[in-house]
Amino acid sequence: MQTPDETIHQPIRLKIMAALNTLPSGQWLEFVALKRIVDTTDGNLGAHLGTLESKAYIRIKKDFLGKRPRTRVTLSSRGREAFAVYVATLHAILSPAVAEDDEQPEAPD
Amino acid sequence: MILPVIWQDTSQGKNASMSPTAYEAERALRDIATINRRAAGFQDYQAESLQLMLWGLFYMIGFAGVAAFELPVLLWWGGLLVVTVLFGSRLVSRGHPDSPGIIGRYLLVLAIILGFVVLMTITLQPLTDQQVSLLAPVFVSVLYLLRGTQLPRYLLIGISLLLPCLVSYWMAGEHFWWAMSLACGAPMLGAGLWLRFG
Repeated sequence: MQTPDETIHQPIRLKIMAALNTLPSGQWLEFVALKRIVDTTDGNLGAHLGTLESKAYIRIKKDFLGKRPRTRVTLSSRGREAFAVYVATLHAILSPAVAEDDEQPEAPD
Repeated sequence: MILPVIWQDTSQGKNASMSPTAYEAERALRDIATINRRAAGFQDYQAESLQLMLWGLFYMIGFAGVAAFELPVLLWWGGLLVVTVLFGSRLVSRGHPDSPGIIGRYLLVLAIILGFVVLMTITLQPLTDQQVSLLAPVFVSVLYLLRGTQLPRYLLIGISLLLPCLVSYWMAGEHFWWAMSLACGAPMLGAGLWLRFG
């Protein structure tokens, strides 16, 4: 049986990757926006972003918008690829189950 | 909680040998779909919020101007419309720097709304000024109701725009223009703030 990517296969990181994957390639999402989509705390999100960044799945950019500090995140091409593989793995896990269900004989009335 | 507890710690080596079940995979896929919908809705709401606030101000100032001063109506609404469209286009281009053709699509949407108002005014004439002024808000509120079938917040926005406008038309009498300033402008402004910060 195939095993999903362990870095992605965690609730918060899965949400982060799924949210970033909805953006077109090269588009950045602000930290505060990501926090609202993922629905978690600053600290928790920051920690998981660090994990994903260490695997080069995401890129983090810190800059200023006027005088306001801003943190933005985007999915790297490696991350996009890893997420696609992860989703494909989930489907692969499901397909034998679906096939088995189809093969089950119907219960007599 | 997206996945069963056993899957939370696999990155730290715990339960690493356990195989995921079809149930877990199915649940993860379902949660990805949920996040996709939430992200799409969030981005849509963010983009929409500034426009709602802008056009809420447009209606508020526009109807208040008609109510308070003896202004030449076409000139007043025309001038206000040009300023609002210019400002709106700027907001759109700043909000979507990576989307080529976004200004064209934005202007097309506005042209469709304006075209509807002109077409209905010509087709249904004679219409009173009050009836003409209702066309755009009612059309826009119906568009929101239709979009609300996909993104539920728009359903509430459509209702909160449509009902006060119709109530103003039926009940405000000689205070119609002041009533419309509030009935049309305030819900859009409020809705914009709600989408942005709510």
